[in-house]
Amino acid sequence: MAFPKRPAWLAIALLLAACQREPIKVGGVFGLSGRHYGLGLSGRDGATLAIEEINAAGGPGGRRLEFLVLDDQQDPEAARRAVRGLVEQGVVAIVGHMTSAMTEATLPIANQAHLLMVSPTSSASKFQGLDDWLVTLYPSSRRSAAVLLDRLTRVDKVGRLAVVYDLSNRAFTQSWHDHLQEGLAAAGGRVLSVPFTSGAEGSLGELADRALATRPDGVLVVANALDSAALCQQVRKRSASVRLYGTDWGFTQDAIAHGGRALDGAIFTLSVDLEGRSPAFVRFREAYLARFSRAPDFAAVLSYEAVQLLAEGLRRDATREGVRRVILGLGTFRGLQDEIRVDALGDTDRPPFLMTIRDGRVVRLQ
Amino acid sequence: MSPSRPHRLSSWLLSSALLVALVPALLLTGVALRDLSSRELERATERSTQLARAVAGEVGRFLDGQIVEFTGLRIAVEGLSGGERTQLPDTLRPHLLANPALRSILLVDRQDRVVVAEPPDPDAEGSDLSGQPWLREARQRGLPTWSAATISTRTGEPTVTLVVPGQRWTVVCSLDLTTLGQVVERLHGRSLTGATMLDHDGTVIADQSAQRVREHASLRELPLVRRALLGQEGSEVISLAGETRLASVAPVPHTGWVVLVAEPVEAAFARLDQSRLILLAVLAGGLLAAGLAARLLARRILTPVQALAERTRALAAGEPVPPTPPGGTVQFRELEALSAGFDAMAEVVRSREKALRRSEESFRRIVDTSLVGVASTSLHGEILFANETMARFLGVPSAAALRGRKITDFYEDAAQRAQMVTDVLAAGQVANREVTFRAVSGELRTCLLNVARDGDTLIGLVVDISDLKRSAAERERLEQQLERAQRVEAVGRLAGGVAHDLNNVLTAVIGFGHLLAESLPPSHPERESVDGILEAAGRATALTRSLLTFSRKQPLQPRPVDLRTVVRGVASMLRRLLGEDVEFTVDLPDQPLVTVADPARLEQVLVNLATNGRDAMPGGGRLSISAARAAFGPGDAAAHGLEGPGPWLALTVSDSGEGMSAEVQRQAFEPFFTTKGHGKGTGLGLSIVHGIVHQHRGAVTVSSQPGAGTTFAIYLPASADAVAAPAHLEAAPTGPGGHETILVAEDEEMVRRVVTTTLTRAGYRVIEAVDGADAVARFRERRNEVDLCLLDVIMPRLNGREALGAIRLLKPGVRVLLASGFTGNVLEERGLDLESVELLEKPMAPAEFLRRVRQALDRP
Ligand SMILES: Nc1ncnc2c1ncn2[C@@H]1O[C@H](COP(=O)(O)OP(=O)(O)O)[C@@H](O)[C@H]1O
Ligand SMILES: [Mg+2]
Repeated sequence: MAFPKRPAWLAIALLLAACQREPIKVGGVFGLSGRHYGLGLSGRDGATLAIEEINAAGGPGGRRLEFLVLDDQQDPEAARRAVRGLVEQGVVAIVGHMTSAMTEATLPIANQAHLLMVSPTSSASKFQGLDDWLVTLYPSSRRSAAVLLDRLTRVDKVGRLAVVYDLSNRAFTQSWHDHLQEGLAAAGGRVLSVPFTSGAEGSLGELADRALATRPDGVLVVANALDSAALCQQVRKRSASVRLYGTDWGFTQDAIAHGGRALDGAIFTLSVDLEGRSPAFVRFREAYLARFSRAPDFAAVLSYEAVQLLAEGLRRDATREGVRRVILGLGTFRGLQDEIRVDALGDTDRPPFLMTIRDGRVVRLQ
Repeated sequence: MSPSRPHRLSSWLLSSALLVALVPALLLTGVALRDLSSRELERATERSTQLARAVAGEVGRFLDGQIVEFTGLRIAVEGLSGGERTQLPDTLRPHLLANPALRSILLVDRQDRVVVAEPPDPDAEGSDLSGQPWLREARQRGLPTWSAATISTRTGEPTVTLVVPGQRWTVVCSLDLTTLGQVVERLHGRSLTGATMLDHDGTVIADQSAQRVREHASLRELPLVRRALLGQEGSEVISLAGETRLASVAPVPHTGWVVLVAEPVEAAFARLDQSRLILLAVLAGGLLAAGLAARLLARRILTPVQALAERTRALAAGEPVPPTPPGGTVQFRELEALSAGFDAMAEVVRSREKALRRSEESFRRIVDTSLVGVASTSLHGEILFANETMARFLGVPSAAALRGRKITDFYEDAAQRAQMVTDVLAAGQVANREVTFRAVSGELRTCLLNVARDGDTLIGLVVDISDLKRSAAERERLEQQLERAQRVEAVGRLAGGVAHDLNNVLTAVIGFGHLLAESLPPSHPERESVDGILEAAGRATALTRSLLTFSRKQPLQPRPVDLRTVVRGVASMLRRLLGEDVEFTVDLPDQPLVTVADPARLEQVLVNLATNGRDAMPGGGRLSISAARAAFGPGDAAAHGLEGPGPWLALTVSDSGEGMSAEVQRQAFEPFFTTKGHGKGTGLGLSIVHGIVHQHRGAVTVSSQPGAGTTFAIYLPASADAVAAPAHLEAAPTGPGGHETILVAEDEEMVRRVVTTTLTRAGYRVIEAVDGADAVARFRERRNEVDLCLLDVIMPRLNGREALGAIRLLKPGVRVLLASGFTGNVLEERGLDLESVELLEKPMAPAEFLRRVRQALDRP
């Protein structure tokens, strides 16, 4: 066991600090506590891995990235506090939030501070097409909803769909609800709206009862993983035949663990092929597994990519204004699996696809 | 003792002693520190590791306790028969009550379905747990298995699930980890030390910071933690939450969890720091002791050396040398030898110094008493040395006061000094250079300078030649004055001679003229011509008198007069003379200004000067006359050409006229010098002034500048006599006559005839003599008849004086009148006693002549 003598390592640390160029501060805001923590942890870990890899390679332009992570607690007030704190600490850009509700709460602050937020998973349609300080990596819920809608109407022939959606992430869930309501109506079907608030319901069984009360052909759960899993369990207890649908937000590995066989056959949208075979993705998957001893979920992948995109910008210009200008001018960006298009308004294009769960494993629907 | 040198030696001794002590002390300390550090490090590490191990053990025991408890429960529930299922909740409930960590118990059937949940939970019952990795793992292992820690969605607290698999029932317990944290805290209780529990991902599941648990903070990135997750104990200094800590990890048995205790390094190594401090203190103490010892030693050696140094200094400064200090302090043989050597040397130095001082003193005396000024200066002129004579030259009280001053300050002309220095630098010396110094009093001194160069020093010998110079100038001036006087004298003699002869002729002309005029009735047509002749002859008489005056041949009739009276008497006449264009002022004091002088002559002086003033101011101007006492210093009187110290009276005549050039001034007093046009000036005015003034033993000076007016100053000796009341002589309209017998001796026949005729007409009897001898003969014959002898001064055979002598032998009380064309001093020269002889000046109007004759006859 070798301990460096204190003065010696102090001196070395000082020396290193003196030699190194000033690091670039990058903020990270994720929901790390509360009921949505699964998404936040994945986001944090994916981003952390990316930061560690970038720093190991010398950092953008030879400057180390300093990653300042804060918990938005899935609470608008806490989120705003966190972002304001990061602004004050002088971060050049922020990775986060993981949910659209939080992004909605803090985007005005970012716009005002000219601070770029690169959100891995905010996908509410309302963020699309705006000249703001937000870059999203995930396809809009409109696109995802459209893919699911296609399945519902053309293959599964679902006429009546109960949409159970969590109002605590309303920015996201509401747009799903609205897209489906609109689309299904157009196809001659009907949506039964079952809103709820995560953690506020006494029993999810009652929620399942409500969803099934109108005898729908399918139930779409737009909620976090734990809620999604628990809700699917309750639905399955009551009906073995009703079709279950979900979103990639809810249908993560956690959800599969908690949902067990109840999730078998459930269909959900996804933009990331977690079984992907591209070399970059395989390498990432292994590194993530080694680092965190669990497999990455879609949030980890997107968060990783978000940091890589940000680094791409920082490599050319490490100022707040500059990094946004560079990123919006990139055109395309090499993701872990595909070339991702980045338009001038900071929206990315990534085709969503449908997945299902078979024997506890996530499989892509052809 | 110069302040730095001995001190350097002592500090050198001190520092070398310190160095000698320091090296081993530092080495020893270093070795000790190293040893201590590694031992202290080991101890701290050991302590920390033990703590981690203890905590892990405690947690392990807690978890083992849980396993034992719930394995018991599983056996209990499995022991129940199928019909007793309803009793299951009752079996579970006591556990919930007794176990504070337990939150819920699920009984799961073989299909992974929740059959019983306690506390009852309709949502949970019937749920499928097949997706849970821990359930699968537990079934595979067939052993009680711990899940990863999670945050309970229900309570928000960190929870962990214990799965005890069984044949029929699998018991799934949710345990609150908060209690685990309390266990950890209770165990070590040291507030500074943080104990953290990590699950098998490295995620924090129990910590002092609830936030860290809530946020699922991960410590997996620490290599120490990663090694611990593989079952390896360890310690390391890490940075945790921005603080440097000594951390130790220990795996918790059976769980894959890890306990990490972290202690701030300051606290961990507090004892090491303390030991280090003690060591350093010991080191410092040792060094201090070494230093003190070295000082002591140094002082022992230095005291005699310093004493020696003090004595050397005293010797060098010329102070009395203190005696050798008592032998007690001198403890070194070498130093004793040195001291003895010094004493011998001091003796030699002293005697040499004495000899040197004597020689220097005598040399200095020579220099100081020398009449030659001696000074040495730097090249820049700073006076390094000067003798008293030099100081006297420059008017400085003492030679010492000169030292340090600049010689250049004393040069009248700095260029002279610069030139001298240049020449000395070029030639090495300068000889007999004439320079001018300005003494402190402002007096200029002309000196001869001999300078030689000695390195950067100039040594100068100075001889003051000012007096020599001054007397040379004086002599030159006197010579000029003499020359002028001689010239005037020569011209005067010539003019005097001519005037004398002319006088005789004029006497005859006037005499016969008068006789003729008297013989003609006033209506006679020739009367006018005769008057014309007489008038012309009168003018000629005036001219010859002028000539005689400037040549001082005119005898004076001096008496004490008040200058003020003279000036006032002539003032109204001058007023008329000057005309209306000239402003005329007279400035006279209240006190009388008495001098012995002939007032008529002084009047002439004033008239001549005023006339010149008027001529110099054709357009008008100002003329002022003043008289005052003149006070002269002894030298000044001489400078003005005056004899004796006085007292003197000054009579000045100033005009605001055109003034004179130096050239004109020089010649103005010369007879016949004039700048005025032909027929206007005679050139005699100032000559006459000069003559009169000198006859009165006075002096005249002029100061003038072209265009700035002219001032003449006349100096006359003041007299203590009282002024006699002026004699009012009644001038008879015609000359008085008489019946006495008068012997007339005159060699010029023409004059003799005029005199005889005049006297005869006035009623006198006349006995004629043609020369001096004849006169004596005639007097002898008729000595009893003769009442008055009228003798011409200059006669052949016997002159007037000789004849007078002979006649006085015959009759001592005889009355005599001498007549002559020559003036007084000629008579003096010829040995005549002016006091006792009446003097007649020829030519003379008959009335005046007869008046004088009558006076002589009437004198008692
Ligand atoms: N007061 C005076 N101002 C200017 N010049 C004078 C004065 N007195 C005398 N002089 C000069 O001195 C000369 C000689 O003077 P003086 O002997 O009186 O002879 P004269 O007056 O006949 O010329 C004058 O011609 C004149 O040039
Ligand atoms: Mg004149």
